[in-house]
Amino acid sequence: MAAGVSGRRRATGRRGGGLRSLSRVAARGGGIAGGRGVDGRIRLLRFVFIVFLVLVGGKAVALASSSENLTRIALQQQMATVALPAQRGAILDRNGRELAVGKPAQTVFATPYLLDEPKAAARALCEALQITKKRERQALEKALARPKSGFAYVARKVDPALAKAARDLDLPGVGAFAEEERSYPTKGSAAQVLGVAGIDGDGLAGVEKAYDEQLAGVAGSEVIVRDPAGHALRTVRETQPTSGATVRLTLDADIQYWAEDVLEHTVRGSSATAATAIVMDPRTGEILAMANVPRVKDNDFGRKPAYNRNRCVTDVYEPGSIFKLVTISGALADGLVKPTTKFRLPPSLTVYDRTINESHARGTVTYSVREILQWSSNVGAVKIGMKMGKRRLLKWMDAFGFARPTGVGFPGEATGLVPPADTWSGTTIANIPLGQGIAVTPLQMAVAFSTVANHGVAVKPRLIAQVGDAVYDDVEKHRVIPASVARNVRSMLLTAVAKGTGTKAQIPGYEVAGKTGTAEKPLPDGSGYSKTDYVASFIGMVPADHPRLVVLVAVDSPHTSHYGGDIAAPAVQKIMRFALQQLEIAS
Amino acid sequence: MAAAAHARRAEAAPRRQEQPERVQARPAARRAASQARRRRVTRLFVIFVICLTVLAVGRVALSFAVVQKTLQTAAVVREERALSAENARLVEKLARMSSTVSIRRIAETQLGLIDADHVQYLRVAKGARLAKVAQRP
Repeated sequence: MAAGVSGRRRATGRRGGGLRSLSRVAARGGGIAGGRGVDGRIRLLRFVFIVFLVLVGGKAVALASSSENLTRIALQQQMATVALPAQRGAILDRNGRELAVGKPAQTVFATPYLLDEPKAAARALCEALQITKKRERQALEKALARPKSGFAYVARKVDPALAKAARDLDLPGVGAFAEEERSYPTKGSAAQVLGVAGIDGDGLAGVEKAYDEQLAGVAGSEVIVRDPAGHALRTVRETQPTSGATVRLTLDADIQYWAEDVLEHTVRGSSATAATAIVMDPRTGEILAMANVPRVKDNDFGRKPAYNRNRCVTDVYEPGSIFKLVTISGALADGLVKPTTKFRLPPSLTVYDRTINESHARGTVTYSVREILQWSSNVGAVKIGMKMGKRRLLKWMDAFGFARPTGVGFPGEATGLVPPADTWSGTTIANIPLGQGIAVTPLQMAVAFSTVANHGVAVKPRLIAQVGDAVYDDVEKHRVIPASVARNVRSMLLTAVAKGTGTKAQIPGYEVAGKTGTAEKPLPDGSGYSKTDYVASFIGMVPADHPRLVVLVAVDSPHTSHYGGDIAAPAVQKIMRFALQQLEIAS
Repeated sequence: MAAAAHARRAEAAPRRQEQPERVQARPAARRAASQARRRRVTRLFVIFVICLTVLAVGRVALSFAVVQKTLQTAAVVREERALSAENARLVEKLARMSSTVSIRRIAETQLGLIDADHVQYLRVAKGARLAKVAQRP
């Protein structure tokens, strides 16, 4: 009895001892009452455990029954798809120097409805992002002041350091994501050729547009699981972006820069409105420079849209006297004349209602074909043209590639204009042989001269050397005039530079062949030609007996002088000298 | 009679005394067996709970390790992207600095250089010594 009492006391006196105490009590042989107490607690514990299991099981069943919906909600909360932008391919010059590259940037955005004080936030963001322009500041204030708006750009493609400064403000709803900014390290050199990629990375003009598909690459994405703070915990699925292909041009960045520099000085020095230059390798058709002045500074195509065009390809003009090369080459090739064939030339020539004069007044002379080209005689060219007739002139214009694209592959290439045979008036035969009444692009003229330079074989001009792994080194060529005719024409052009109108293109130590052009600009109303506005041009090749370079310069509306020999020939000479040095071309 | 009754009582007495002993001995054995069973059950329950706890802790530890590794991987990926971005930035800077525009600006503004106004081309005869050519006026 005493043992039972003491056992009960011990058992009751050890509350809260847990399972170990319970089992210890049981082991000590506690009495019936003590055993009942232990049993009771174990039963209670078992009951609680079973209830717990039932509850957990019930919850599990409930969760399983609505798992689809819950999974969807969970995924929405935890997972996010992040776009991985593809790196846009670089554009390089022929030597692998970068002309256009991608630069890491950040875009700062805001969630306006999360901002407590939009105006103060806008001010702080402007400070952090160094937005100083009043118009931009006001636009940002306006964008952030929309209380229902869920998204607003604060600044697109800014320097990552500035974006960090904006993020460090810890404004609610303000964040940043990575983007790529297009950078043009040459600061606007060759801008009209390269074109521009827009704010969303799409090519909008020039090579950027023509090869947008190859340059763009393919964007990737990743699906990530985030913690409540938004940190990425793990990546569920990832598609790596594919970088765009690199496009290598045939341009030489140094020759390009030099050509633009020379043109800029020429335009400034002659009070002209614009100028273009093309430097081409006549053997391969590779374009080494394609310069347009005024330049597009920093490739900012929004500033002055009139400057954005690559006028070498997209604009046409009446070529004037440099076109005489086509007339004379054709006449020689058809055997109508020889370089020594003499023509008696009056001071002027009237064909129907049109009177052809020389650029410099002179008396009646007798010139050979060589001298006609040497002194750029208009009357002589018309006489040769009239000897050729309409059909032959049209045939040779077609053979030299006028009135159709050159195939250089530049967007917006103009075809030029050659009047069809049935639209010729009586005076047309007096216009076309000296380069009036037709419209050509500077590139078409350069190709025509390259044909003569390349021993009578026309070569398709090329601006693209390589896209990704594909190398474009095929030279598409076809013969236009016999090599002997080309040699004769080169010899005449050599005389034109040595003793004729193009003496300012001479380079000591080299034999330069070339032709001047002084074309009156047609009046906008089509009523005739301007007596004040001209296109002064010169096109030359060097070395004359085996040309490696063809250089064309056309200056629009120069005012100090309007002669191609005075304005364009010195520019060609400067460009040639630099290019000869740059390419290490021996005489 | 009385003696007979006493004798019966005397016979019955030990039987009565034996009964409680048997009664007491049987529940004790049952109790012992029941206690042993309970102890076994309790032990099994304790072992089960311990196993469950170990498994749960293990699962948590495994998840933690996975999360740690994922975070490390994410950090490496972030670092790789940052390095790629830095590389792209440096490539752009190099291209900018090595462009003719920059070199010319530095040459003119910092080094005081000007364009050469005259370039002389020398015709060098085959086999001529460069030093002699350079001495020519």
